[in-house]
Amino acid sequence: METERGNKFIELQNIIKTFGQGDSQTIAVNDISFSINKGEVVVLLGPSGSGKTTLLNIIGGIEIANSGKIKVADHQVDNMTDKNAVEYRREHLGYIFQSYNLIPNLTVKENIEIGAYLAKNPLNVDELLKDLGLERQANKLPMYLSGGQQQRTAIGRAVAKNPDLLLCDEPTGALDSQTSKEILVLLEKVNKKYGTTILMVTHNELISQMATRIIRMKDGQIIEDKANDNIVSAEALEL
Amino acid sequence: MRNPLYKRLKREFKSDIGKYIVIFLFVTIMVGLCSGYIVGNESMIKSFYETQETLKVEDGHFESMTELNDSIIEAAQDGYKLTIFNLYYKTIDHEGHNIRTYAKEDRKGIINDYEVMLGAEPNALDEIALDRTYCDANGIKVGDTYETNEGTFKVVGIVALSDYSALFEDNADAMMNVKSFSIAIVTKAAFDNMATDSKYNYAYKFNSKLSEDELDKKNEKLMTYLYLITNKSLTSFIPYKDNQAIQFAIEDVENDLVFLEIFFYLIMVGLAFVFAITTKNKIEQEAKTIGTLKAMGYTRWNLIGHYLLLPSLVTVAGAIAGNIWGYTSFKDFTTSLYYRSYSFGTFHTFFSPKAFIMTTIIPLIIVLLISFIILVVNLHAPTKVFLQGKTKKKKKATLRPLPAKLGMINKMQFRVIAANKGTYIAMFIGLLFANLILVFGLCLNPMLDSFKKEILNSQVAPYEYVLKDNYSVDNPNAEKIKVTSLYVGIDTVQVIGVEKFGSESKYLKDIDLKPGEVVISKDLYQKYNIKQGGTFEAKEEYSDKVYTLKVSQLKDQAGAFYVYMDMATFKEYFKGAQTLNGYLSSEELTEIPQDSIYTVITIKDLQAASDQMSLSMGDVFTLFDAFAIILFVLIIYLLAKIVVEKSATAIAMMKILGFNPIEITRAYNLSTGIVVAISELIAIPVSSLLLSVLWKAIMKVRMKGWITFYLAPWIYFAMFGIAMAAFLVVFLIEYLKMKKIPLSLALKRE
Repeated sequence: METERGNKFIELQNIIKTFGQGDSQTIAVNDISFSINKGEVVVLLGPSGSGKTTLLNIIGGIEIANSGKIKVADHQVDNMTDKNAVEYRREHLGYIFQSYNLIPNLTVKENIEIGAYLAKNPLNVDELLKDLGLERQANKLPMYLSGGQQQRTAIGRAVAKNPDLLLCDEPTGALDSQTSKEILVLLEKVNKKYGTTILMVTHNELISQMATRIIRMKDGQIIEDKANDNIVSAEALEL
Repeated sequence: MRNPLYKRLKREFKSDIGKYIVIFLFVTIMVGLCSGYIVGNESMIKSFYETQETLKVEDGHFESMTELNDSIIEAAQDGYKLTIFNLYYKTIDHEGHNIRTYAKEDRKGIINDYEVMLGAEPNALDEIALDRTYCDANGIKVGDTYETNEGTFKVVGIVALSDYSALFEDNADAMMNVKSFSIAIVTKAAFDNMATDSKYNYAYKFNSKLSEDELDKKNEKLMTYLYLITNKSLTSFIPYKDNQAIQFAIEDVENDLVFLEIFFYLIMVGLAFVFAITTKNKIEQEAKTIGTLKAMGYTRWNLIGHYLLLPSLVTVAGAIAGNIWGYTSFKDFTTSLYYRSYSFGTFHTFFSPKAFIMTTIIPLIIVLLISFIILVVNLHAPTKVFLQGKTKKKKKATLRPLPAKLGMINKMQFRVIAANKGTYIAMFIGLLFANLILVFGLCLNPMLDSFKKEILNSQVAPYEYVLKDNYSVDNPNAEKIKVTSLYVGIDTVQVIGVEKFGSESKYLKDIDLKPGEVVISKDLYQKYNIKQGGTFEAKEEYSDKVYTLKVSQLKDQAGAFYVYMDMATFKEYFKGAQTLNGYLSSEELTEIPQDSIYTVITIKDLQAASDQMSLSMGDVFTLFDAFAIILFVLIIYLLAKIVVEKSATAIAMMKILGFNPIEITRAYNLSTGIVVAISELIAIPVSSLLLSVLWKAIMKVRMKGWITFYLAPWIYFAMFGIAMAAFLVVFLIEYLKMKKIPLSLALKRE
């Protein structure tokens, strides 16, 4: 089911990931292979327990696959030393989570600055704050922000380092529909403005409409991998 | 129904086992050392006083130049309701050592009995028993041959005499002498065989128990009576409480506890902070669980009981283990210190209620009370606040931006410190007490060295002779003095009347005496806050007579309490009182017959006091240092642990973002290092100042004599170095732990 589009940025071959042992062993990712080109917006779609978050974490180097090969840019992700893993995440990845995961004792601006600090060519933090509509919240602690503002801060942190790849794990999972749309518009803007490749995990069919490609998963396997011929802009999504 | 929360205890214990093991070990060590020390100390004191009874120790003794006839003895016995015992001795020589030899039969079961610590009683003419400390100092063992000017003896026993727990050859000596002076016991026959002349020494014991006041009065009257009746042939009269050979050792043992108690309470405060910090952290960690339990209907008191249980159990377990260790083995360490210096008899372990209260009841109360207060304060917020994962209702929402020039890691350090300021304040206070204990331990030896130098610099004359009679010396280097002693507060003061002073004197150039006024030495004016131009009261020993003395000048002289007055004033003040003649001299006055010399004070005697203090207390102070270092590591470890644990999710997130371990450790662990360094820079001078105040208070209230507080400059650097070394140990532990924090921790959805 692999889709060949040339200029492969991410390549996965026969990825298997299991949890537990013996009778209680669960196969979370079962022999998955695909590749993603630079600049694509790919949505991993599927119900809870389908293995999509595990797959995202394997690509992000957070989890290690039992077998299979993963290459992202020039990094062989499946076989990295700790030092290489740090370099890989530092140079290429931006992470956005459903639960934001901001550093609680840093202000909004400082949370974004820690993203910028890691990059060789970071984006301007003040401009980013403006783009994210967080200028007035710049000196606030995350716990005093709304969910949407916290997620925008998380996007700011991920984008500030100007990464090649943005891994988003249910980025709107905890937000209302209006705020969700605002977040998705932001992600779309990042993709278009900086050419950032986006790999987004969601169980929301409607969100997948904004992707250039949709990969459906069930029980740890890919059941469909297709290009989205009817891309809907995030602004136009009816969430 | 049994409280279901109890089921959590085992899990909580397992999840925080590192913390509980550290606390358990700390409590065990602390309680063990302190209970061992107190039990050893108290048992030694109790054993001492018990044996004073069972071994029939004297109420005093006196020596006469001539043998007293029966009528004098009977008259004294009848008149003063006492029994007088012949306790003659002969001083024999062994390689230049003065061996004061007594007949076994004069002592055994009668007066000033002794214990045979090793070997047996002397039963044959050529058998001898010697004092234990003397034997230890000279490597003498049972079975050895002992050559003396009175023939060769076989050492059959090693003894501890009830009236010689410290080997003072002369009661006026500044220090005991275990190296070249000993007491020996031989049979009566062997004693009578000796050609050496007997010294007519008599011990006395009142027929009934008397109070201290009654004893003082009776002693005074007895002395006057004997002095007159023997036609002034009395060469010494030493009541029990003034007998250095009896009192010196036990006073030293009793004084040890003063320092130990202070040390213990400092440790207690340190421990209280450790519990305060860990309890507060527990509440913060479990805020959501607490919120859920409160929402379910658990009351604040249910939760207080729950969170109080585990620290209390750990403290009780630690206290039990500590007591077992203290009673079974550590007390032996304490008593070995005393046996090394003094000739104590057999020691029995007594249960010490004081040790139990101090080391078990008080720590438990402190732990419960501190934890209770912290829990009450921190469990006060509404349920909603806890459900949000917080413990306080309000927190500042907006922070002042940090300077843009500040690097990202520095900004993070600043924010970590600000976010943990409560924890760090507690750490500062904990470190302050740890520093106080450390400086207490480190300061003693340099302080005693400085004290020795002070004595050396302020010695009036190389020789200070005090004579028993009016022997007159015609030597241009000898300046006549008169001496008596008075009491000021708890101290004995040497009052010296001088004929020459100022430019006329070789030794007292720096003083200018006015009629009716006195010059006092530094130790005296420092200890009793006496000012120039002011007055102070001094009391006679055996009477209620009080002298009010006006101070015309303060003399920079350390080492003892001296009051100088011109000879005319001295004679006027002490007309009819017991005074002695003496000389200040730059050379040894060999022309004075030995029989006329009461004592000679040289620089060696003055230094001996501080040497003995070093010897007897050195180990206690080393113990302080060891404890302070343990406390440093413990406080820093628990706090660094708290900071890292509280930030675990953030640390996992930073790893995901691509921060390397060095950057993360700089942001989190080094923040603790910065706080430790800043705390030290503040705590070192503060603790030094506190100690100087404490030291002066102890010296004034609890100790005889005066040692000027001195802190060697290197101590400041040593304290900083020790604290940073303790931090480094913790830093490495926390660095390894931080590296182990899994990235997946940041992925857990709450």
